[in-house]
Amino acid sequence: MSVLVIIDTIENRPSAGSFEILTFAEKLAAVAGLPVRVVIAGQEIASLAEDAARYGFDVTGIEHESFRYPNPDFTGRAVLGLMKEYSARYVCLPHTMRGCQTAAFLAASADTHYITAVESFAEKNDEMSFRRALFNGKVYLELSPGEASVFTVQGGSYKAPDSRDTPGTVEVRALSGTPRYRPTGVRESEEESVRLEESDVIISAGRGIGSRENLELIKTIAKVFPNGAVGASRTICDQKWLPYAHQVGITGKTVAPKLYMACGISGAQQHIAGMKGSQTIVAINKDPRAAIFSIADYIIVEDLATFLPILIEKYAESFK
Amino acid sequence: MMKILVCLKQVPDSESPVVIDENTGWLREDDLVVFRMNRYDEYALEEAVLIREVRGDVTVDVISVGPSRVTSTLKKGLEKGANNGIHITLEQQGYVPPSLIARLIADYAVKKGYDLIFTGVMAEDDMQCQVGPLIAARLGIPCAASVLGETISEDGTSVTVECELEGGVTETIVMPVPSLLAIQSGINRPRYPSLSNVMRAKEQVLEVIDAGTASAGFGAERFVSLSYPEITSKGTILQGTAEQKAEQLLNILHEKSLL
Ligand SMILES: Cc1cc2nc3c(=O)[nH]c(=O)nc-3n(C[C@H](O)[C@H](O)[C@H](O)COP(=O)(O)OP(=O)(O)OC[C@H]3O[C@@H](n4cnc5c(N)ncnc54)[C@H](O)[C@@H]3O)c2cc1C
Ligand SMILES: Nc1ncnc2c1ncn2[C@@H]1O[C@H](COP(=O)(O)O)[C@@H](O)[C@H]1O
Repeated sequence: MSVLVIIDTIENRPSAGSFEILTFAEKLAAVAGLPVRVVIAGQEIASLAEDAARYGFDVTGIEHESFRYPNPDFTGRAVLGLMKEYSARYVCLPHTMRGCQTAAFLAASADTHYITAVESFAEKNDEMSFRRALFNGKVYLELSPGEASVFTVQGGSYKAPDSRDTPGTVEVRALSGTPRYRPTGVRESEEESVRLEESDVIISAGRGIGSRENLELIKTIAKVFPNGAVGASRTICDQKWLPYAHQVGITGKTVAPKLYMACGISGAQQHIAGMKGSQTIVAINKDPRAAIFSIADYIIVEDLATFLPILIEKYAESFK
Repeated sequence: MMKILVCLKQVPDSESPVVIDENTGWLREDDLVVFRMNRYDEYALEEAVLIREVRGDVTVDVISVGPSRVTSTLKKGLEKGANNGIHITLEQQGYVPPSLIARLIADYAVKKGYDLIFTGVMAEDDMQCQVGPLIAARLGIPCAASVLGETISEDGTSVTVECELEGGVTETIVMPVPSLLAIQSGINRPRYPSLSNVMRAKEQVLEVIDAGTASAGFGAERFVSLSYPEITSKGTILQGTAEQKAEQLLNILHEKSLL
């Protein structure tokens, strides 16, 4: 039996956070007393497979021209065979949109249990228990999988392992067959005028700002700083209150300014992933249990509608 | 004629208190908890209704699995333009495995021969991102997740979708019909119900299917516990009145030479 790690690629580059899950898999394998095997799908995978083997695990690269862009359907069908071949007890994928799709296909087809967005696990009374967030981190759910399971692992939960002196073995296989659908290309979002990544200070608005008018308060505060910009959670951009160029998070920008001020943002993993590297994080939220507070350096439990005007007024009194 | 099924989950409103019930170990469902349609599913439903508006010969069915309270979400679906509502009743309390939800929906859908099935990418409460892809896998149809746009070919045999990947990248995929699309937020602007649809929804009867004892003997991951996150924050909690907090914050930023 084994613990299988599945990594997919875009134009032969591994998708973000892929190597982090090696650490998850390694820890899981240690508890279960099983070896880890890595499967990488790509168009021309040999050199990436060598790269992955540096971590000390045996790697199987699967190649097909349709793997140029992520194709979870085809990946799933190819991996299903490998699950049997390597008698996989646990299968681990990154919790990306594509990872979830492949994982769901595997779990449904192999009829195994399936737990998504795992952040950690522990062994309690001889039973493995896997922890994942509900309600953007307000509560946590622990689940115990059965004998065989598929997991997706939340990005940022583990660090990629160090490379080892003795690399693992590498085997590359060319696949045949025709995928059921064709990705025809990928497109990066157009060059944007908002250069969030280059700002020293980002004042970010979330749903908690309440109304579009209150964005003016956020803009006023951002202007106070020499190189300040306005950021946003996805909900603000979805409502078209700000263009997507302002969005911070896994499907937006990754930023690491000197100061990140999160105003009315709950702290969903997808948002935190894009800003947790900021030097100083200030979070303002009316809910004392908001998940954003767990990564904040300064915590302010207040209603924004009253607090932001006071902040602006106090600034005008003392600093202008 | 094209048939679209939209999966609607009823979730507690994000402003409702999330409280673990000490007796059941699950979440408390009392008068303080307000239920509504999962926001991602609002986008999914709107997309289906927009397709009908363009193509004309389209029926949009909405389906929800859950206890009797979910009928209000199905009614909302009708108010927002769905043609028919299907309620699979599942009274089960506590953790409901997404694989069970997926199986119930797939078992219904397989009999109806839908051309397209829409789900949201994720439920706001349990955040599983599972049910859509699991339904597709059970039905043996392809699936596209995190869809930000779709164009159906004129003859209705294929659909070209724009799928969001992480980091601001989108992928274009040509899918056959039938397929399942898990719709991402921001794809459209969900409408408010029209008065005529509100009136129609009042009259309309939902199709009710009893999931019965479907869950008995259903092999799924086992619920262990719910818990509040540990307060791991090393952060400083600013104290005092709002004025005092504002002053403290300005001083801190000044000391750090940010102001
Ligand atoms: C595939 C996928 C990708 C995603 N990518 C991203 C991404 O890149 N970036 C991103 O941000 N999100 C992303 N999301 C969405 C993410 O899951 C969350 O839904 C989103 O980040 C929540 O935004 P929010 O914090 O503004 O809103 P909510 O979660 O609704 O939080 C609002 C907060 O405001 C507080 N609040 C309310 N009123 C007040 C008040 N008067 N004063 C003070 N506080 C108040 C509330 O307590 C709450 O904590 C993605 C989701 C999916 C499924
Ligand atoms: N109980 C349910 N009834 C109907 N649809 C559901 C249900 N649960 C989940 N879904 C659908 O599946 C999507 C993803 O949910 P989840 O996998 O729970 O994150 C949701 O956006 C819904 O479209």
